[in-house]
Amino acid sequence: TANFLGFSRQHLLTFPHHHPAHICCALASMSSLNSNPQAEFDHSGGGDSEEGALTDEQKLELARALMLQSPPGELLQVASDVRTLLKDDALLNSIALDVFREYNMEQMVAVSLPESSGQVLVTKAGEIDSTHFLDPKRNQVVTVDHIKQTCTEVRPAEEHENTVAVMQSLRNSTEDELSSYAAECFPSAQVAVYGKLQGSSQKLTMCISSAKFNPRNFWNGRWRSLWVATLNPTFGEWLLKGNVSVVAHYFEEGNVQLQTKHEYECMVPSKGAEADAAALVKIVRTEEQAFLKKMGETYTNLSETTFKDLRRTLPVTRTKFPWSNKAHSLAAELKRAR
Amino acid sequence: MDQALDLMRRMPPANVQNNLAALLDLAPELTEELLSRVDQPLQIAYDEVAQKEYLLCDYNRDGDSYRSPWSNTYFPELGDGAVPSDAIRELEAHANEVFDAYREQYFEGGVSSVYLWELENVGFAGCFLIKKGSEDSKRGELVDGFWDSIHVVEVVLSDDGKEATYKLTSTIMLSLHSKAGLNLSGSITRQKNLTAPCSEGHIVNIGTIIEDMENTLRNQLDQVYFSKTRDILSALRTAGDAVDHKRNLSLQACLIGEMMGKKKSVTSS
Repeated sequence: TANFLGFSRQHLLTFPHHHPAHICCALASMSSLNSNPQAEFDHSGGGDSEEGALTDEQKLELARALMLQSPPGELLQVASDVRTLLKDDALLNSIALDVFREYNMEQMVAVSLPESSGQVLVTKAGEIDSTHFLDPKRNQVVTVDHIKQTCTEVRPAEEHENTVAVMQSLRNSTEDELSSYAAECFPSAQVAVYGKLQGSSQKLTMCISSAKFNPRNFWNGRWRSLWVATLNPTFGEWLLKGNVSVVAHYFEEGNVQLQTKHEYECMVPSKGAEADAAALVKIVRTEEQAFLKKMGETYTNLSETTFKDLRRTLPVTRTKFPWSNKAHSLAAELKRAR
Repeated sequence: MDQALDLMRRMPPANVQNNLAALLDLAPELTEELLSRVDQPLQIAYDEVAQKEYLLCDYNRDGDSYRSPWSNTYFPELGDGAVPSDAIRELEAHANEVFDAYREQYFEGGVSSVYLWELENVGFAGCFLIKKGSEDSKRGELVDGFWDSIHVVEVVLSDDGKEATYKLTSTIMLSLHSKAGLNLSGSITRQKNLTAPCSEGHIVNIGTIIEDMENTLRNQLDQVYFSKTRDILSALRTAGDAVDHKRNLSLQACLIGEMMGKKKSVTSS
């Protein structure tokens, strides 16, 4: 934390304003001068007059929005900061569990099984209820403590909770293929594949969650893959939709974040469980590889072109700026300096 | 306040303004301090009198108006807005002129502004700002970037007035993105002190440490944005081979051995 706090200015240098800022006006006037649409964030709300304080509901909405933006591995610190700023523990506690759960599901956080017998992903696809999640690989249901991000209990899955019978073979084959891909290309990823019926359509959900936490070296990151294949029985083909997103946070001497998203969609003819598993995972593998390659190219583009266009390493003269070379104003400045 | 700063150190830089607004809503008692200490991307306004652009920050704000360093007037109009003393204003005007020239040499474009104010019995303080943007379509990809320099300096004069201690805190905010979906945003902050004779004037001293600081930070940004974040990405997902999966299997013996070696060195980082 010492490092974080050193981030602020050495000493507080405030400017002696004659007039106080009107909070929402200050930012509004600044942002209206430069139309830069930012993420949906309803902080203004109806009753934000100078006297009007925020309602509890509005405060909670802001608290939730802030917490959901926590970089990988930093939710506890963010929640702690929000708690201090909110100055109302009871209020925060009323939503804490919900927000942590929402975060864990969205981020596909991995929780460890008891006795180091492996890890399970917390995902929307595997949600049975707010604290119970399916581990489709081991046909069991885990109870999750969302705040501690641990698994507190394990029990066998009941039939209605588990993978639907007609999809078991496909699910197993897909998981084998996906695990093989993950083992080759991810230093330490967790994989989960679910087979459920959506109405009467088969829905296969593939998840890859790869996170690394290295706060001692000032960084954290997570890669998330979510691929959903829905079967259209009439045409015997799968509609495959993929979503990949990466977040990396580097915080030595500052706050730098990489955020990237990729979406993909295609149709895949269905030929049988094993063939389909292979075909679907092949697309996942190929598309993610292509995405990674594209990211590499973008990095090169940004570093060799955009960054260089912003500021030169040295002026065209190849010498530093001649600060002293302002003879005509120098005498005047010397007078002022005294 | 510590918690607010810690929070802003973790929130996605791409969303800084919304998040700062949320903080101000949750903790309005911290408004003055937050607006002064949390760096935001600089906004640009137009000085209709001088017909020049200028940059906005908390140090040229009064109420909801902002003072231009070119014409020394507030926009929107503010009759009794805080303005520097005549002596400080002269120094400020000169600083703006010189800093503008510096900006042109290194940035070849963009906007700069310098705001100074007196520190009673101590000396004076100032902020030196630069904003530069770039938008391009290179190799079929639309990319853009923004650079914001925010240098805040406190000048403490020695008793005999011959020397001064300059305490500089510099933040560079850099935002780069590809319209196709990759976003690299953030900022780096560093501090440096210098005690020097002021025989040649303060601007020379301040300018020199700002220039050195910017050059150092530019290198640091290059490292962090294009090396370190890429390293993190590699730790999450290896570069992988473009080799066909089937070929991998058929080259089992030596290839698996090689991959095991590679995996080990990646996971042991």
